[in-house]
Amino acid sequence: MTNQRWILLICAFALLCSGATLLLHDAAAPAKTACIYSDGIKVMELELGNDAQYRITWKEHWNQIRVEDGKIRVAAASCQSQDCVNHGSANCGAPIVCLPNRLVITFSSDDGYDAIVG
Amino acid sequence: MKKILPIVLLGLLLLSGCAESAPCQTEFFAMDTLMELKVWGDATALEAAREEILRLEALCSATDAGSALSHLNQEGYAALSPELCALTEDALRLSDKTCGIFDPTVYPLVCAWGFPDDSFRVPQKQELSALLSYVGTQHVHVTDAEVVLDEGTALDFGGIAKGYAAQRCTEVLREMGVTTALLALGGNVQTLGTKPDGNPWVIGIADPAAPSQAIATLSFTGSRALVTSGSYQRCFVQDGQRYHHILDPKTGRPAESGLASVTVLCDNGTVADVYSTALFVMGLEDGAEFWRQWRDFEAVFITEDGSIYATSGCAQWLSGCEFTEIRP
Repeated sequence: MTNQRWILLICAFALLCSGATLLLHDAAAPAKTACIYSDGIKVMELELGNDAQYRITWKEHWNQIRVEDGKIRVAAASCQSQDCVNHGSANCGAPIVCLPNRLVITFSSDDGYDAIVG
Repeated sequence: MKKILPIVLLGLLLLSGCAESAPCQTEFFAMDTLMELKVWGDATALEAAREEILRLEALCSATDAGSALSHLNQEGYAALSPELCALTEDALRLSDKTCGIFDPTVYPLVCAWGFPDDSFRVPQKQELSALLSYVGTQHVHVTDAEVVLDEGTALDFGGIAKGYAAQRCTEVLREMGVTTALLALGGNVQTLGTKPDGNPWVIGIADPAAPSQAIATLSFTGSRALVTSGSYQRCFVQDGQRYHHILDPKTGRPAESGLASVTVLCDNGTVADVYSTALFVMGLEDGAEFWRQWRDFEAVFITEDGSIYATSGCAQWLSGCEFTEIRP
């Protein structure tokens, strides 16, 4: 083979590999899920497509969690501040946090942000 | 040529299939908030950053009875480490720079409102008047290695400690050879270096009306501290009235400045933390004037009616919203 053909072959091969990598990357992109952490321990991973409700307890504290319409929220909580309840429904963005009850809900979906300040 | 080609092919194959390196990351509670650290480097550096935050929490917490700061507040005097003395002096200097609008001595007021332990209550006017006599940096006396507080005065580093921790973490990471990291310490975000893919950092500003969603986007490269102070953070409702945690040291009550949030961008995390609190209390007009006077930070103001204002230095980084530019 001539040098030109080798160069063409190399370029075609590299393009093929890059395309395959992109395809594999997209195929591996996760569905919209949320992870629930209690006192730093992952206790649950949820598909947000399935409506459900859960009660997470830590010591004497509790959070009532509801999944509906593709979003998750803290419907009720034993904490004083109710910051977690006021956070509302979400399926991406900043984690839902209940500091007094050591509860964190994070999202696996990529919303395009590296972080949310606030 | 024929011998080299297979090697070249193999190299190209490996390069084209190489995914962007994943960061080491951890999440934990400290300083009464959620800490999320991402470090593009080895796990040792990540652990060092985590330990630095926990070390500073043990030093600066006003609620942990065993901390150096608690000891100072209880006893009224303490021989502090050079680091804590320097941080106290920084807090006093920045308080002076903001004409006392950021004030590290508001702790008696913060306690009266029940914010440290979520025992929320609305103090009576007379109670606030009495407590205001303990507030003010003139009640704090710093010598070479000792801090003395006047009777009834207590320090609170809640408006400076997370920013300082972010600052220290970047220093620790740099010393360990880390060039890229993203630290989210509660509402504070600190970027270090350039993203591995070379793209700008994309940071959302929380919508005060729906904090899980972003109302605007900041895209920039390099190391920067971003801190937001907002009335939607840590608040409680009593008798239908909402009370937030950012107290005006002149009145002892939650600041009513017409702002829903302010986000400060700055090279220094400690300064960003202090300025975000101070600007929130100042409000839009005085905050813009403060920026014109000092020009050592940029800011995005969101008013209670949802209008957005950005200082001209960060206007180029802001997208995803309509905003008014604040000019020098």
